[in-house]
Amino acid sequence: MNNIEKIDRLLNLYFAGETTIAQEQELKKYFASQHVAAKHKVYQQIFETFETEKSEIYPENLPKMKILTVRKKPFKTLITSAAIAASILLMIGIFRTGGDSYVIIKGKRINDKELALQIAQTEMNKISASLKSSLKSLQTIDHINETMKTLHKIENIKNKVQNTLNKINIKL
Amino acid sequence: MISDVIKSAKLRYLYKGTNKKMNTKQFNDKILKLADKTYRLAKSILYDEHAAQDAVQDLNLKLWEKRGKLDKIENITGFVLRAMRNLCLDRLRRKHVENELQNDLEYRESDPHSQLEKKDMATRATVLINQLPELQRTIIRMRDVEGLELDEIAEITSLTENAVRVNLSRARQKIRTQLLTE
Repeated sequence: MNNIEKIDRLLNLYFAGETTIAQEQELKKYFASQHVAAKHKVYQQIFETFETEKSEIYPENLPKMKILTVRKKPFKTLITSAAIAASILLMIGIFRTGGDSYVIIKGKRINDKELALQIAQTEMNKISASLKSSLKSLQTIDHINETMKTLHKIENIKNKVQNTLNKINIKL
Repeated sequence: MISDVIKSAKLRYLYKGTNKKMNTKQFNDKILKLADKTYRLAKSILYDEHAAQDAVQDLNLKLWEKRGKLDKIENITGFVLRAMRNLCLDRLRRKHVENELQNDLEYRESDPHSQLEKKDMATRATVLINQLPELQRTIIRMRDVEGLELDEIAEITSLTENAVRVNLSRARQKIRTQLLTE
């Protein structure tokens, strides 16, 4: 079987929808060559058209995903909030010596119950404001559920501190 | 729309023992790399570059929202192309309804300049392919442009493999008949 007969047979299979991918590749290769028989020229544009269409791509200048560019800032804010909360927790030391109770806030020893609570409350409000700010940013994106878990942990820490302060309030 | 696709699709799930959402890199590697294919498919169905670009954007955003489920899909290419086709067909249906309403109000002739421009840019074969019914048009392009296997096309179009073969043959024969009679 010469090449022309072989191509005729492949074309018959092609138009019957019976060709394999490999046989279709063979046809594409033939029609892309310089040796297309005159009787086959009419089919050449079909295969050329498919090859042209295959080279058409999604425009590169268009953003493929807008959402992928908006993740970093809220996450950074969250980390900052967590750091602030952690540093404040470290700054507030609570000490009891025998029957004499006192608290140390930002390195200062404070015996006055009202003053201690007032300073602690102010610091807690700062944490709360910081958390609220983070939440507001986070609500704008789709990942809210995942990141909220971390925030809840910080909220839990805040609650534990609040409980501790309440206990101090009772014992002082 | 996409949630309906996900619910109704005959998906073959491959559980990998994890239920983690795709991260950005996985989403880029698995979904966004298909943008060229989905764009060509959308353009073939919608006949409009900008509408096709919008469709790709919308589909990618919807798939991002559903990324928790995508990790379980075995044939992601087939799934995404199927979702793209369904999204485009849905838009065509909506447009058809809008056009019917518009036609009731006034008769609008299409812009002759854009018609001429489109005709000049397209080859005769492209014109003939574009004149095929949507199903045949989609099938011939999935096979001859994207190089998909018949079983993959069957999954995307919700047809049997044999029905795909019949439609593919009809589409190719129509183009041949037109070319031979001109």
